[in-house]
Amino acid sequence: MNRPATTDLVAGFFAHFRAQPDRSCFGFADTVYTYAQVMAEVQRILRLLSAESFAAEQTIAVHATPDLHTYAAILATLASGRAYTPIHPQQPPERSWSCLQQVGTRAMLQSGPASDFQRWLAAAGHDVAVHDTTTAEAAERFREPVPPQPDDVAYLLFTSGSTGTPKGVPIYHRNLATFFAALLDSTGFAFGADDRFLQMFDLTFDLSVMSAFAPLLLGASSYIPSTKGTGYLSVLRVLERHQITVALMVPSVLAFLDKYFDEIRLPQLKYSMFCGEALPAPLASGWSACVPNARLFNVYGPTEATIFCTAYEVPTDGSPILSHQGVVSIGRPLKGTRLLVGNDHGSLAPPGETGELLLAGGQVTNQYWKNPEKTAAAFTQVLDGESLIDVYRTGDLAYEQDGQFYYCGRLDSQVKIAGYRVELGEIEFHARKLPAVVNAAAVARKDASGNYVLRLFLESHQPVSDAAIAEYRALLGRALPSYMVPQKIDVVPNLPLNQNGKIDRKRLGELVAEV
Amino acid sequence: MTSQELFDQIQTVFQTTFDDPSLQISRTMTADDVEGWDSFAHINLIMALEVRFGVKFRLSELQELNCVGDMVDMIAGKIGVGA
Repeated sequence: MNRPATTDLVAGFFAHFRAQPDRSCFGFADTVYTYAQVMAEVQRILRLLSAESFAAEQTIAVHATPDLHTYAAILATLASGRAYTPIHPQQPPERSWSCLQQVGTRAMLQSGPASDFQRWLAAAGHDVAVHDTTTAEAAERFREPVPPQPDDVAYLLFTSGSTGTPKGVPIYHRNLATFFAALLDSTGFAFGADDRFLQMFDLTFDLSVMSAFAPLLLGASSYIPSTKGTGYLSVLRVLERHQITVALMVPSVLAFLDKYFDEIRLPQLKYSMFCGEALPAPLASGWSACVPNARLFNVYGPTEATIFCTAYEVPTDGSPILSHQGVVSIGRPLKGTRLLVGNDHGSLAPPGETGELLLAGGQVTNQYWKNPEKTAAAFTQVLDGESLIDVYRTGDLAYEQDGQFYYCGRLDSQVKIAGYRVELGEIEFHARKLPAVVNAAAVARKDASGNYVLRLFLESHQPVSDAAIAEYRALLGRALPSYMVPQKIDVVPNLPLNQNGKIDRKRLGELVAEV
Repeated sequence: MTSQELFDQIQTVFQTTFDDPSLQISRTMTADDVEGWDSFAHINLIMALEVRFGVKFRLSELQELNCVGDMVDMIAGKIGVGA
């Protein structure tokens, strides 16, 4: 393949706009926009961002509705030399406000004249200037991008935090450049300008950066499904309608489509990649028949290590799939990343021994934003031979065998729901603040299709009516994203305790199974 | 089973799936009208309807479901409930 001339996605976008302005760039629903059309939007927003009122802002919040204006707002923010932080439109406003406060920005770009979050900000008296990108004035001149410095932050994403406050993860341009260089150079992916990428992720999820913006380095295009209620069906519709050739998806999509595999044929798909959750080997095997011409990859990586940092090519010729307890191997590190396994004594475990997976290298960030306590706990050093190296502690359990790594579970109570990280502790933190609630315990259990179902047990010493439980649900919905609101809430007079006086989570799991 | 009984039973499945005993469905209702009806809830809803009525939706059928009325009609057709 032709290696892209740059690993800077904005520079790539500008170069391909100049070379082939009429090529397709982004597709939303039935409308496909060319590089020239996207650039026109980017230039309008760059003009907006050149206003004096933005001068003090290092980071711009982007209200992340899935439309052309939002994608252009992200590109324009990066082109102006700033970082972006996406704000999920359906996220509870208190949580979004927490993100804005942590970032320290007072400016948000938004597609359209009004949003629920904007109204909430106004009602709460918070001083945030919200700018409608759809009415930005046409550019009076063409603005070139500000070249990013390696240590500039490119984006700030927030992940679930067990103490009730989401943690900010800054990804620097050096991290992003390392990822794109590894993706396009060393993994064996032969993407090209004619490829059509699927972009099924919320912009608050870092896999979106790969799916939406890697194509811009190649002069290729990206297609975004509708986010309406039938999510995974619209993903399939886009795969078929736009003849997608590169698809990065979460395994939850397969868990949903599993029983329909006999109806699915996607011969045009060349690369089918999975990330964000453990990939069950039987699902991968079944899916390969739906995509007869595709190479299958399981890729792995937390937000802190920039999108993904390992890859395993799943064989589709009938040879055995490397797996641990039915979960497909996460493979080998990408170029520029090191995977290490730490043991309980703070040193490295030998091959074959399970321990905490530690990540080092150019894709790994160095902190949680303005959070020294969480930073110190997760970003540490280990002795490798005679030298200390900086590592990120993933909290994932893994082992290495013959150079391949195998995911074995979590050290803590984090679960993945459709790829989103969910700390059960964050749910419990907010649940304990509900009226008449003494204590709370959240339980995640897999249903028949392999998806996690969240169940919340509340300890209350007062009678609690159905109406009160409905109110609890509403209150939790104001504090937590929808995927973190438990499907079922039960009130009990006492939570079961184990011999140590701690909540007996094993017993709670059994209670869920019994119902 | 009458059409009304079928409709009531589907409403019960909705109430259970969305954990909201007061939820009232209508034929024109879509995912946009129900709080919490996102892609995760949609999967749970389809599975719950299949279990409750002992039916199986084909993928091509699911892609034609645009509103609650479409669901009601499709289930009615599968289990033989007249209009």
